[in-house]
Amino acid sequence: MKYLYRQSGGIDRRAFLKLTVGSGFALAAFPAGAQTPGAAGELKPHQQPSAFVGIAAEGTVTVTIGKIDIGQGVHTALPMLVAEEMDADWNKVRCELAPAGEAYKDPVQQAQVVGGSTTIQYSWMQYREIGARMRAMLVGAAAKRFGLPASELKTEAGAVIAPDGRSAAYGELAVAAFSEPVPASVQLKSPQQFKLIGKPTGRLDARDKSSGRQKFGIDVMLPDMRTAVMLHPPVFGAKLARFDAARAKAIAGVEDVYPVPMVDGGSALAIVADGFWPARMAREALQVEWDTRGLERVDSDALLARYRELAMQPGKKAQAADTSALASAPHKITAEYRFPYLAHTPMEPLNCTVDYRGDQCAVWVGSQFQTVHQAAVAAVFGMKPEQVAFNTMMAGGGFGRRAVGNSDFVVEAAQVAKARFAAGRRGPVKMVWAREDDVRGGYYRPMHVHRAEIGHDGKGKVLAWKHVIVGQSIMSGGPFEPFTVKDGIDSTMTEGLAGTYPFPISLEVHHPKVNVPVWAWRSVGHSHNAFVMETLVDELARAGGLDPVAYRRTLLRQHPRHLAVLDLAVERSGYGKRRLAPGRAWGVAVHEAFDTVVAYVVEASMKGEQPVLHRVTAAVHCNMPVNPRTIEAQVQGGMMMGLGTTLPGARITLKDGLVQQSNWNDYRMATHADAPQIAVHIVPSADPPTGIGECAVPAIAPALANAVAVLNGKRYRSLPFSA
Amino acid sequence: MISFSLNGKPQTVDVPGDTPVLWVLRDTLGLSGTKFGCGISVCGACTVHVDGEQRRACVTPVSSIAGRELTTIEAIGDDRIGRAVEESWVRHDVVQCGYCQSGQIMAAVALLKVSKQPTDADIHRAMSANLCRCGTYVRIHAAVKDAAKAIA
Amino acid sequence: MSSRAEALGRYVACGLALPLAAFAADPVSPDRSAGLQAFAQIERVLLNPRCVNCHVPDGPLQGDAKRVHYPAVQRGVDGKGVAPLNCATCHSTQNSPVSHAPPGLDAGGQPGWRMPSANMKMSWFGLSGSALCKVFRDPRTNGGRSLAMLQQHMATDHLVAWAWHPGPGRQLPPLDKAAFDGQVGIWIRNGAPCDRSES
Repeated sequence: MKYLYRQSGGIDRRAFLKLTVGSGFALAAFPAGAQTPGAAGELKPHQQPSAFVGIAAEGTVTVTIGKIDIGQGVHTALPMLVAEEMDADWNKVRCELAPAGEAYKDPVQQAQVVGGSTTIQYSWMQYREIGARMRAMLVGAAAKRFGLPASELKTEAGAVIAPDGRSAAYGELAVAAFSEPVPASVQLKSPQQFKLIGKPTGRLDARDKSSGRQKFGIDVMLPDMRTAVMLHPPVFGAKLARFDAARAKAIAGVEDVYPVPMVDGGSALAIVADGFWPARMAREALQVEWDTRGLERVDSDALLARYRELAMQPGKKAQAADTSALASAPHKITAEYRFPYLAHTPMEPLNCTVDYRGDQCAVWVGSQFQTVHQAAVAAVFGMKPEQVAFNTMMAGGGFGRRAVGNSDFVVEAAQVAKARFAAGRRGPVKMVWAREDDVRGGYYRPMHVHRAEIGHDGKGKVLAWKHVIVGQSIMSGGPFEPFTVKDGIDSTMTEGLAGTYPFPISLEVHHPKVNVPVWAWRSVGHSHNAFVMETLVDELARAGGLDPVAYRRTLLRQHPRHLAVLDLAVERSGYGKRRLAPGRAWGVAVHEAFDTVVAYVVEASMKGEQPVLHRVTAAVHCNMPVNPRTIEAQVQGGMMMGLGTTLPGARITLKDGLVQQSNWNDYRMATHADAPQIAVHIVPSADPPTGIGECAVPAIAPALANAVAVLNGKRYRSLPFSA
Repeated sequence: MISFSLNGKPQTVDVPGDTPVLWVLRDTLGLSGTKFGCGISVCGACTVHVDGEQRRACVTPVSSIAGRELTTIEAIGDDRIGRAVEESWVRHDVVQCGYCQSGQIMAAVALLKVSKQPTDADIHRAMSANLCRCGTYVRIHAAVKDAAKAIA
Repeated sequence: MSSRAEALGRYVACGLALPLAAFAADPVSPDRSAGLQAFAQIERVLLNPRCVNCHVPDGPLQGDAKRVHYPAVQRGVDGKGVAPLNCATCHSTQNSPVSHAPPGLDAGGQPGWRMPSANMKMSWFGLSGSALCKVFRDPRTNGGRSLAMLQQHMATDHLVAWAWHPGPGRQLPPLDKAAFDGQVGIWIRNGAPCDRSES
């Protein structure tokens, strides 16, 4: 893996290319020719094959992708898009993660970011066009070599083939190809012509990740590197009042202890040593006093009481509807739902390596938000973003935590580097959070309370629905605020509640300010709204004596994709046809998140007070699946994460401002023993793909809750499920 | 000075004896395949083998492996069972982010060493102490069963 | 006295200890009431999580709250767990300085954490008073120990001693070690009574 260091004074194209082409590869010189498109329109950096494709003399095709792979499989899927249109030999395709760079900004999001389950959807045309342009350039080079018109040449499995049987492998043509003009408009294949896209394909990173060879951010090793372990304030926003580092510094291997500011206005201590362990031991030896004056010390019980009160009051109007029929409705459901703070806890603890040299800076981090984080680091040092060589490392899970808008942990590492530099220390510093730092480090999925008052006719017809949601706004004050917060209402909190079923929902929201940093957690608003909606729909069905599947089918008449997944899951599960063993019940839920629809039909039983999930039949409509294996894996994994939210201990609570959990011993997640049997079915489609990364998380918890309601009549109104 | 065998070769380190094997591997010896996940032995990402038995390196002091055989994920291919597990993992596309998988594989190898034809319950019991936030358990389960068939 | 004679003397003394157990009372004035009071103190230690978590009929318990052990583990034949998830997988040769890491214990350089074996569980979880005392006292349930061997075990066994050095974040037993050893001595000197009805 080549690490990129920027020379001072701007972009170093040769170094840039080294990353994409690699040593020992045919150097694809960044020729002036490649930048001018020829005829119509200027091609933008994100449209240039030279930024995304490198071809070695022996034929290895390296696709450099702007998106980080956090497990969701884009490291394979994006190269598939390029390789398909390029007619590359898939066996020779490799993938690299691009550093932060103009070419790698997502054209839709205007930033280099992975989030919102958008990668394939937004990259679909972009990466295919790049592949097609590369193919055209290879054909152009071959045409010159063969002395034939390009129109007579074919491409297949990494070679250009002439009608008379002559062929030239891509490796042989590479240098010449990159001297060809880059065509602006290109012809793309039709789905019927796909050889790769849509076929179950093994992950390109499978071998490395199955043999300990894959390097993650936390594995960065550089000469003269030191390790920083942090001591964060116990209450969010607290500042250092006093500290005594004498005993800490006496520990062998410890360099020094540096106070650093945090992005939330608080301060922390960085213990820098020649390895993680001495720094970690030194942390135990620190004596620190914190200044918490003026800070809200959050208490979960008090917060819940405050939220419950707010839920009874009128809020900001997100969706208007007539609720006058509530008072006179023959039947009413009044339900209050509660959701806790949730931590992401990706398996790889947060980490970031920074090498600051005064006039240049290099960063290595598994960032989901490269260009924003790069700019934030630059701001710490008073540099321009282009002066920061920002290397994207493979990340051990993200779930949104590595894409925080204020760049929290990345800036923190930069501050550590800055403090060291000011103290005369040189060389890179790798900041590694301990798991306790992560569990207690905030940026949680917010706590929520919902209050629903539904008037219905007892036969499944909803006459009025008054709904209030209380929860902190994730996006206010951050870089996405202009796109997500309107009239004081954060759409990431309401997403997934209304808009599908034809219910006349009057929706109001409250966004209290609480001294707990919050951010998007895999599936964001859907992580609570799907639970509320799918359990209430189930309840309405049962109140009307209606089968919950049949009820949904009538309500989803206008939604063919919802119907498709529901029907497929029902058919494959045997629901309505197969008799379940005594003590087992069916549960159903269907939910659309980020343009993809997932349906679950589950079989569950009770073991004492605990539900047991035996079997899951999942159906997903993500339009065309680029890699069905990835779709299946993401549904399996998203399902496990959603199931995890139901388990006892899956919550973050605070008392007197202190987070009460510290590690996976008391912040529980799903284990292997919790895994049900699961079969995933993909609805066939040739439409441009939608996402999958988060889409399978929301619907499993309500499906299971709905099964429990059949088993013992109990309706869960909170996650995790409570007895 | 503490000496032990590391993946079949003699190794000596000069670190305090209570330094966990995890940090000796990662920081002293530069072997990054064994991962840090929790530091309290609850996640299994740091799983290694000592004298053929699985141990969690984050809580194993290096002094306790003096004179013993330490095997890490880097040597997974040196062993028939390890090779079968690795191939099964690749065939089943088990990995997503991949960070927990070194530990999962070392745990799977430890299981297959003592149980040639593990039942579903055996696999659940043996593997439930290895956490995976991406939720690859379903594929891990299938891969372990397949690896068992391959070495039968 | 020659060391061989010393050793022989010790051997003879131990060998005589068993039949003497019933008569190990203070020859001056065995005080049943004092003995029972002493056991009430011993019981407080035996039932505290540091001890009772492993003196259970099935799988071990965990933590001050005596919860079901995570991960799900089994005792195994020898009390060292069932491969591949033995006690030694997570419990090493020493306690970790990190809170909530598993406790550890050195047994000749090897991890020494274990439960009583399956054929001598020494379980007293859920018992109290005279029922607990009888399990504790009877060689058929206490690992074949005479009163003198029992006293020796309490005083010198490493697993017992661990209870007072359990690592960060764990509650200590309600008596300090010296006081506990003292109460064991008082109980034994006063006839090791388990209930008032014993003569």
